[in-house]
Amino acid sequence: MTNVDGGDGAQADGSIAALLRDAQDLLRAENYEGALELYQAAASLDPARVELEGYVDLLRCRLVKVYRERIGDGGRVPKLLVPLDRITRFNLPTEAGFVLSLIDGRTSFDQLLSVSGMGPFEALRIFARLVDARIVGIAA
Amino acid sequence: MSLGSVSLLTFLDAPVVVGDPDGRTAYVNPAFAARFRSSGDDATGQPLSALFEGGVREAVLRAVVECCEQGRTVRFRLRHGGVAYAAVASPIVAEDARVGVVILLVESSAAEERLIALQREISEPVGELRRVLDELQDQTGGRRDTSYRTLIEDGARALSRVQKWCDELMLIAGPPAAARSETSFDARSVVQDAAARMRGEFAALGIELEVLVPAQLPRVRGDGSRVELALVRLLRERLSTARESPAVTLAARPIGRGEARSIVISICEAPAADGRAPVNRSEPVPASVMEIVRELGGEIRTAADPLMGRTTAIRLDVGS
Repeated sequence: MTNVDGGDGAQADGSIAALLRDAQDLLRAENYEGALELYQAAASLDPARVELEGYVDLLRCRLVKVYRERIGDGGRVPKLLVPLDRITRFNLPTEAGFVLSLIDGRTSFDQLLSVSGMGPFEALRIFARLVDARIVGIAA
Repeated sequence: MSLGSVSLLTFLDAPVVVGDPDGRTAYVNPAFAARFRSSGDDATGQPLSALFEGGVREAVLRAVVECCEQGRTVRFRLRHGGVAYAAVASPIVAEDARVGVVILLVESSAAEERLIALQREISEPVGELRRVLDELQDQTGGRRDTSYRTLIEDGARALSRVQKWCDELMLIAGPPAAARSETSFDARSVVQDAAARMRGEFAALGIELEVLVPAQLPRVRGDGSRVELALVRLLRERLSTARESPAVTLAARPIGRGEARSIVISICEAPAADGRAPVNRSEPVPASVMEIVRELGGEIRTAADPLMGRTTAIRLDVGS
């Protein structure tokens, strides 16, 4: 992974080029989340390069599809697979805790996405990670 | 009843209906009762659908559903008793976070109605001409006499000019798409409205047009109708070249650390469905779109990458 330091324009250009090279390697390995982080870092280093934000959006769009595939049919109802008293052991971020608090065994993924008030990308990412971690499953 | 307990809506000349989160009528003002209620009975508590009939009922219910589900203002038009109305349905959030609706109806002038009808009449054959020319261009590409291709390309260019003025007419005459002002606008509504206008044209070519926007975006400085026009033009331009892609996404989000100072709106085109690397088309942005973005003090770039696809990104400043 490339270290990114602040500094003058030339240094920033060099850092961005290195980030983008690493990001391309990750893309070839189909590691879209890793590539997204690097593109986001590159975009924040040079806000004048609007196209970097466009690439960030391309990756977010790609990941939304990936997350939807992991979750499956959005009409299905998620349920907690882990007892509430054991969830604290996972040291989940606040947003994930909020999403978990919405799961009631009756409301579907799509409805939860809608009522969470979060952006679709952020909410889908949390759900996909919770499903991957087997904290959340599908109600019978 | 004291004057203090009477709603100011009572004194409004324009008809107003308020619906509760269960789809029932919570209030109609006297102007509404006079124009839409022949029986004279109290409408309160009745289903909203019972207040209207036929095509008007369908239009109202569609707008109410969209308004409540998406939590945004919806504008539509209806005709009742020989009078045309421009209608605005806005969400009202109740204490329990359920969403109701208030509908305001304002009479349209005859000239306005004529403009709208003209815009509709022109749009349809223009769309048809575009499809025919595209088809001809596909069939003749490279195999026939160059002069045929030149003629078709000349026709396509002329049609683009007609399309441009048709877009302008749409924005002047069509239902204003969202609550906006010239100083700042709701970017989420503008993005959704631009996508709604273009979704049919994309669907006709079998390309999915998706929207990826958060529930809320900061208001953006400038005139939202200009941004909508720019997005419609970009999407239309993308439509003419996006046939290899299974989907195009219109995305928007705030950027910057902490409090957002700007937003980015992107048109994202995924690589081809068969996994082929997309053509590296980072063509220049149409001049008319560049001009709009420049007017708004924003920036726009198009870029393409074989592994990721193609993107056109617009950055706009958040309003004060």
